[in-house]
Amino acid sequence: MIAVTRITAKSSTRNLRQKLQLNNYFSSKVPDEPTWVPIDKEKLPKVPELDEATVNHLERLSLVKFNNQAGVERLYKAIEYANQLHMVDTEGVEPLDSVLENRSVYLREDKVTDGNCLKDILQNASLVVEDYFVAPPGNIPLKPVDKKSSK
Amino acid sequence: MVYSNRISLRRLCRLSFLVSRHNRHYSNLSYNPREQEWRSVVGLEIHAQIQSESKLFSGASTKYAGSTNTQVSIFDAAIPGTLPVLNRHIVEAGIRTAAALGCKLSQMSKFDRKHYFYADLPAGYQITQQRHPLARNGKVKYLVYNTDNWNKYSWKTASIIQLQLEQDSGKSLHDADQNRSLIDLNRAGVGLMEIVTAPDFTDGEEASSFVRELVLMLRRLETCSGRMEEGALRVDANISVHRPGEPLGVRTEVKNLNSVKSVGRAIDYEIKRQIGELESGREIVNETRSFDAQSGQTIAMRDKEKLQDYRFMPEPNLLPVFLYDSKSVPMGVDPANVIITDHLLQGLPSSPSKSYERIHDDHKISIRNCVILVNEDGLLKIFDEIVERRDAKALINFLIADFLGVAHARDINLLQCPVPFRHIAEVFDMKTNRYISNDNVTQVLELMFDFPNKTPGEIVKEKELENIQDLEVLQAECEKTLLKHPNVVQRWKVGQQKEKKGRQDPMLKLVNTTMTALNNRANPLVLISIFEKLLSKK
Amino acid sequence: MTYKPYHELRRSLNEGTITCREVVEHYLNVIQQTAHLNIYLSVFTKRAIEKADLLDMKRHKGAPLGKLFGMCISIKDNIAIKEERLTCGSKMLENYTSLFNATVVERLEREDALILGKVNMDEFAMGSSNETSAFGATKNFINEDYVPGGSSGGSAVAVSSGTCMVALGTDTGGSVRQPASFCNVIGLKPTYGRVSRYGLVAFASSFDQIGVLSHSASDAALVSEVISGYDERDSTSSQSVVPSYSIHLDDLNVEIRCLIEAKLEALQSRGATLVPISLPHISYSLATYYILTTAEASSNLARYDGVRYGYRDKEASDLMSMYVQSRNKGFGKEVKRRIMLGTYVLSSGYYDAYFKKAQQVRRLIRDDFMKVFEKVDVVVSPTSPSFPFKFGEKASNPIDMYLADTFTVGVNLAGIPAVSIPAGLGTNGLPVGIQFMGKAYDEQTILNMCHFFETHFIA
Repeated sequence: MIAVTRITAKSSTRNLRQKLQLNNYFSSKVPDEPTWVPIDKEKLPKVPELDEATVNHLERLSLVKFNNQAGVERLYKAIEYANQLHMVDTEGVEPLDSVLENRSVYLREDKVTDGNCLKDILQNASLVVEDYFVAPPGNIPLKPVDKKSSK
Repeated sequence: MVYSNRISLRRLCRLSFLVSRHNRHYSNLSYNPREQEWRSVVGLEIHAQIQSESKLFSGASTKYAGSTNTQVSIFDAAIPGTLPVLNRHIVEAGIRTAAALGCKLSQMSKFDRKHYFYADLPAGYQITQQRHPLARNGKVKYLVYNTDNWNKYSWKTASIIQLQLEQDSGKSLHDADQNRSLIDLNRAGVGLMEIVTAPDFTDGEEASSFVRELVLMLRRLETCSGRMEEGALRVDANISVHRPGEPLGVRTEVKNLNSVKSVGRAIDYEIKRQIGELESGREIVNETRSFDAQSGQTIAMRDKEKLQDYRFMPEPNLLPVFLYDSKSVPMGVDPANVIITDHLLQGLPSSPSKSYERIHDDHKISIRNCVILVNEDGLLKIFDEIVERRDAKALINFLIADFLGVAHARDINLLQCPVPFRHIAEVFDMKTNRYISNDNVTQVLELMFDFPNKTPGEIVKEKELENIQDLEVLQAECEKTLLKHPNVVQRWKVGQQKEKKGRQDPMLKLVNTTMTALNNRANPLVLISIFEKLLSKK
Repeated sequence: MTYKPYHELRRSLNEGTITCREVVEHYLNVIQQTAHLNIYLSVFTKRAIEKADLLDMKRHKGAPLGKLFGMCISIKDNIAIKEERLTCGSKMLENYTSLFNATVVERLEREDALILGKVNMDEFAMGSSNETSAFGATKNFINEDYVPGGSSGGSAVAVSSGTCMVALGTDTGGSVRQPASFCNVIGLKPTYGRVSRYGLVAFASSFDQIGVLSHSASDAALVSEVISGYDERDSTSSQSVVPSYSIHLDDLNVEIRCLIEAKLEALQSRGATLVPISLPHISYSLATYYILTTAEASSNLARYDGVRYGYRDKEASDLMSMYVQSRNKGFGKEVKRRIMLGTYVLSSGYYDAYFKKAQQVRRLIRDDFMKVFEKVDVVVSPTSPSFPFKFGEKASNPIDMYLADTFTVGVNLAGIPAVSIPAGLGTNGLPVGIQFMGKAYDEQTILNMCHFFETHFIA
């Protein structure tokens, strides 16, 4: 037995079937009209505005930049889209970390089987000094950029 | 510690007035009425490197001080496409430690990612256990003591909130000249236990005493070397102050305290600093600080202007760790995927505080000596084995004053003692029975280590070190001394009319001279009585 | 040489009527002829010919031959091959060379397969059209004005245009099935945990799986059999026994008419909405998917900072600036967008409302599938809600682009296997794929369906 979850266009199904000269008596058990209930946007919580502070905060946490206002708006839209989950009742539902959650992790023996590959490890680094990786010094805070000035 | 051949003051004390070795008078610490207004609250986060061959999630070696970046697997360097595989031994070490600290083991624990960017954190996140740690809710009883005042000791209990497994980070060396950081990832991925305590401490003394107890415990379990100077154990302290009756104050975190002493000093300084700030009308900023051992001060770390958001997320590449005992383990499960805890929880060593209690109660040993006994690796075992039917107090004194000195000078690891314990006991007996004199004890101990296959009795006989028992021989030697040192005799005679004090000097000289002549093969008390007899005749 | 299913080619190889070298040379030739489609990022000309010669010698000596002897395979460029480039379609790793072989590569080579090269993809596997690659888009072989789908667009076109027999791709939300559907080939995504991810550059670790693209169900089954199986180096890989899929491809007793109808209805799939019949939460699968995968991606991509490998901005004077500049220049727009969203949903204050919530809905969706599979063996749907679209058509609104994954993400959320098989061409000449979803570890049934479909419906 096969369950069919389908999508159908609103009206042209029968027309197309006729055009292709198909048997119209067959019922695939798929309703001709979608049964999905559209989400009422009013019922969803409002997405807080992405002000400059939030934008700076996100940039600092993720270490990528928005580059322009359009990027910020895009993110806003994506969050709005994600907001629809609010409509789902998840009372008492345990969050799913992994589909394999009931399996126990494999534990390996405590033996030295790796390492000692200095050349490999350093191979792809663009800057190396005497077997060390090199980075500029840390501990200096980022300066927030005024977003309104760029478009 | 050098033992002279001269009569020590202690020996003479035994002769005449026995003064208690314990100072019974209290010397209270300076009582500052100002500080009575404030309460301080301290909690600790201890990071202990777990002793294992390989790292927590990779097979690279964990040896200390390896050549730069040679103990780094591709996973440790966060090479794209690599995955973590959990080390069984490390989990088992965590389990044993948690049990020894009185914690409740979690039947299921999981791993999480803690995100922040820094050059010594290759993946941009640390794998840790924030939501479901390996164990929770433990209790540790510990002894708070003051090496300046051994009478001021007390028992306290600290609660452990949780014990979790996590990765250590790499090392970042700051090259100020060239304005850069040099990164060595040898340490990245080494297994750590993070032990989080409740804010149960009030000052540096309590916190450092707790850390001492913890280090000892970890060494007994052999789950961590406890070598803070190597970075094997690091302490972060959370400190706040408040006035009695008011809510807890804003806390600061002092990170990376790497010695027991630093723990105490840093915390005490920070408490004083916070009180000072608040009394001056300023506020305490929730920030991270480091401790400068030279100046004894805590210093704000520059890059913590805002609270870090670690964005904890479940680690998707690792499945949960399930713990079972032999009764609860489900059927048909692959043994490579589970840990059965029965054998891990058997035969756990007792805690140091239990040892202190036992020795203090059973043998009425002073706290000071208990502490020395327990803190010296391997010494307690020796004591426990040979104390039966012997005077415990005298034995401890012997071990601490005589035996340890020789062992230390020879760099001997008492955990792998090269001589059988009964030999040590034999030397003690010989001393107690005055078979050998106190002056010869050190020499005999040295010879004992030199000739581990011979009994001390044999050695003493061979080297002719036993006390001469023949009174005639002794008397003859004493008379010789008297003849050689008539001025001393004269002094003695003069002294007799005066107060007693004058008497001891010349006697000391006479006895010491004779002992030297006899190769210390006599009981000085016996010599004294012989001299007294001889001198009274003159 | 027209396409043959592998078992026919193998017969010729065994008989000696053709050599491995000739096969490889043929494919290398096609690769050259299709260079304008921008399929390959690396071509292993020397390596492949050397291996072919070795294999020919092996056969000559009469040594036992592997299951994939002489099969020419191309690999998506986010799967590691030792000493070869591993770009993930990104400027960030443009000059990066892998230090080790992925488990799947080891397994293929052990069975005497020939690897021809690394193929193009959406940057870090994020995309549904192959337009986000830093090295230019790959063109659809069927009509070069149209996208091949993504993120395994390169893999799909590689197979579709005849440059290789089989290609490996990766599927996090449909990235094997959707391009398969757009390119008129078969694309299989195995059960989560079936195939080791060791050597796969992570995008969203609890969703990623390596999948197979091919012209025939038997080829997909055979390669799948070889690459599947437990691997100690991947703690999420399954110890479930891998059946010999290729041997048991049988006819299935099926409602023929239902299939025809389904196949035809796939042609009517323009601009419609999803109807959840037996899967009540399926309409939320896209939002759930995007929250969870962008969160995991923001985490998995945190390692690209330029210190140990990858693009590095050399001018920066302090650590954080260097990180920001390297990542800003090394990553493309789509990757950065997703990292931002992922960071947002994990940040304190939003974690519960978005990430945790999405995890809960994921469980509900998975439970829906499990309930359905108590009653049925296979769930059918179109692979994609639309025909392939033109380049640039969806670039303006990313939400529209995300909607291309509507039917495929549910499968990844639940961790079940699914396969897309060509269901014919539309009146516009563009291909449509039909998707079969199976129970966990039941690749056998869906491959059977494929085989049946193939023998009865494809010319």
